[in-house]
Amino acid sequence: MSFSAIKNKIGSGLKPILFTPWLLLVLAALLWFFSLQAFKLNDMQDWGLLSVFPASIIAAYILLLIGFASLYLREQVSDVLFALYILLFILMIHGTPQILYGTLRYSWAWKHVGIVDYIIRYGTVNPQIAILSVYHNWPGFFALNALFIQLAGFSSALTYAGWGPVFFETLFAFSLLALFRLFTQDRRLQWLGVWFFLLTNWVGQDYFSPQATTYFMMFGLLILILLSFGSKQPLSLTSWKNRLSSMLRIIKLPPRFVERISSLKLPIMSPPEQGRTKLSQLALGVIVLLVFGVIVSVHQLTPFMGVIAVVVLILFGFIRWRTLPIWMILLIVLWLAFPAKQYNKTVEGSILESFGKVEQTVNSSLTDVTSVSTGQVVVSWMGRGLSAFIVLLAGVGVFQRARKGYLDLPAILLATSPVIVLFLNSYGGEALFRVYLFMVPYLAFLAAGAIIPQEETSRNWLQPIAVGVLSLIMLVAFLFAYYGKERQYSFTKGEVAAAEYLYSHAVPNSLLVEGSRNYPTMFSNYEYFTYVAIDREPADSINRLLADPVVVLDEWLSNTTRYKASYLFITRSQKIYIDDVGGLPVGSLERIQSLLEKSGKFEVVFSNQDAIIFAVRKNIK
Amino acid sequence: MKKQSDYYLTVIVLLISLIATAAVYGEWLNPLRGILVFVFMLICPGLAFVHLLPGKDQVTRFILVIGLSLALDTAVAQIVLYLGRWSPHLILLILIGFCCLGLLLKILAENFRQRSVDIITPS
Repeated sequence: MSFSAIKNKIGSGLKPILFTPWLLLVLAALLWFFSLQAFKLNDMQDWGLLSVFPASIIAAYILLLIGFASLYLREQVSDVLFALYILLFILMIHGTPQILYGTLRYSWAWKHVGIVDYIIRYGTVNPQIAILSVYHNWPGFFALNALFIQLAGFSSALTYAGWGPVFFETLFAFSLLALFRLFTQDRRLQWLGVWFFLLTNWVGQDYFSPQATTYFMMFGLLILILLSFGSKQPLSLTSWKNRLSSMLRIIKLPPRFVERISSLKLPIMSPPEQGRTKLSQLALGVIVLLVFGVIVSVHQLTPFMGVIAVVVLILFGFIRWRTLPIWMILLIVLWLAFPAKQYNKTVEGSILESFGKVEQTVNSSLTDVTSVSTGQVVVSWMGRGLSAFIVLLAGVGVFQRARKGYLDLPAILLATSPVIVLFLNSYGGEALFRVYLFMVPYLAFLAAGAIIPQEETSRNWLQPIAVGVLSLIMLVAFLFAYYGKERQYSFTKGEVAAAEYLYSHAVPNSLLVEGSRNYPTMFSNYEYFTYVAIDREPADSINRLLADPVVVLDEWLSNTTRYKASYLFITRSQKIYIDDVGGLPVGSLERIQSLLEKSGKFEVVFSNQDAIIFAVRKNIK
Repeated sequence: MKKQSDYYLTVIVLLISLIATAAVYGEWLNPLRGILVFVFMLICPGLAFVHLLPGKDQVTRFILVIGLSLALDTAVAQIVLYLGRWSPHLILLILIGFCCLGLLLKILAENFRQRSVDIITPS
């Protein structure tokens, strides 16, 4: 037997084993699991969790990417295998931080736990409350969790909230799969769209929050509307094509181009089911309005995104319930006029002020790279780069699909329509991220079309290579963008212990001075405190405090006529936040802590390696 | 086949509702109690109304069931909250009531459909 024959024999024997996606899946899972013990969290650098990645976890990700890409070599792949790859990816990306830290990430998530705690203690909400009033005006998510905690017999939402990203990303992935099934019948394209979504959804809106809940509900609502009130084919197809052709003729495009566009195939959305009675159609209408009503009561921005999406789909003939937006707007107006009346009164001025100021809205959303640390500049640019990349790839996808005769119009409309929000409101400097969040599922689907432009194509080796290479590029940027702020977002058990001590020992009407808001905050008895974050004080106040911290903080914490007790709380994550993001000069909190400890005027009420609580000596009884 | 799956669905909804209620009122230990309540809240209210939902694809129907369940849980919890009568046990009972209503509607619809078929089909 010749050498080449032996080589071929070995090769053909090994090929099915080495490239068995099942084997790669199991290997990736095992490698990931054992890598978790190799993380040295104390060594985390400026660019977050990625800085302490052991080589083995990178190998696990690469195995997972190769395994997923290899699915595109095969003629037949079961949905179960695709689903397992998706689930393992979610667990590896979103489960890793929870397993490593054992504490809830993101200071905002801790605030959400605090609102749930408020409802459990009082059995009501207070829309006029001074702190975090927005949550008391949109309490749906918090009421849901208060209900769950009390029925389940848990002590607080902290028992499970850390697993929020895994739970929500799983819901996002499968709801998008269901939505993409309305856009195309090609299963490989549907799964690749979901895969690209997971690789590009870096904005971190998947934690324990109202917006994550409504984001999922919005996908469910769209599926429900399209399946129940989708236009009857092919009537809308013909009318839409005529409409588009006349529109293109008005702006005088070359007739050949108009002809080509008009000849493209639109996705075959599921036609309304046969035999549906008027009564069942009415019941579906009620369900649609019920789900949207709940979205309205849970989150402020999502309902507007929903209205925009529905209006655009109606305009282009994909939804036949033309009065639906009126009902939707009515529900929003009713909520703003009654349950959220108090909050609405306080913010309407600022809403009107930011109306139409797109440039200001965009700028307020972007990190000022001149004021942050070097590592954070890289993280910021990775996020921007990944966003630009998926937009570009989506463009290529639209072009490629059009060349093969397909026009993914619903996905194009849903991907572009959220931009309208930039004209309406800055949303506290977050509008751009939220717009991206609502665009990215459809961008991901369109981008998948760049690799799989044709529904019935024979398998070729270029497709798995393209899936693998593009996934790798996205993964690298994603790991920087998503994990890049983990030094700020993660809290040690020491910090949590200090925060638990503070919030359980506090009496109502206390003053809490904080280095910054970035710590496990407001999660219990949150209304007991008046909060003063040093980095959010006016510039002259900060300058005065930095010039003589002992005198100024003694003055602040000694106001016994106004407050029953006063504390200064400094933690590891506050210091990191200040040093990475700015607000105070680098090392300010460390210096303040050191001066206070030496002064003898302050009592250390609680301290450990990651946190310290000060009170003025004379105030301690 | 359809009849059999309908039967299983009714049994599943009733069984989970019953066990979750027993876990809550019997103050069973965690994590079992938490898991049972989670499963109940995540699927039961929506599953009881699944016959009203569109779509034939299993993933789609499952997603719609979860979405409807969360919507019903949230809606009932909020109404009770705004009425100033916050009581998790009361909300649980209302949700079980919704599950029973959904199943009852399904049985009535099936009977109505069967009767229509009987009338149309000559014996």
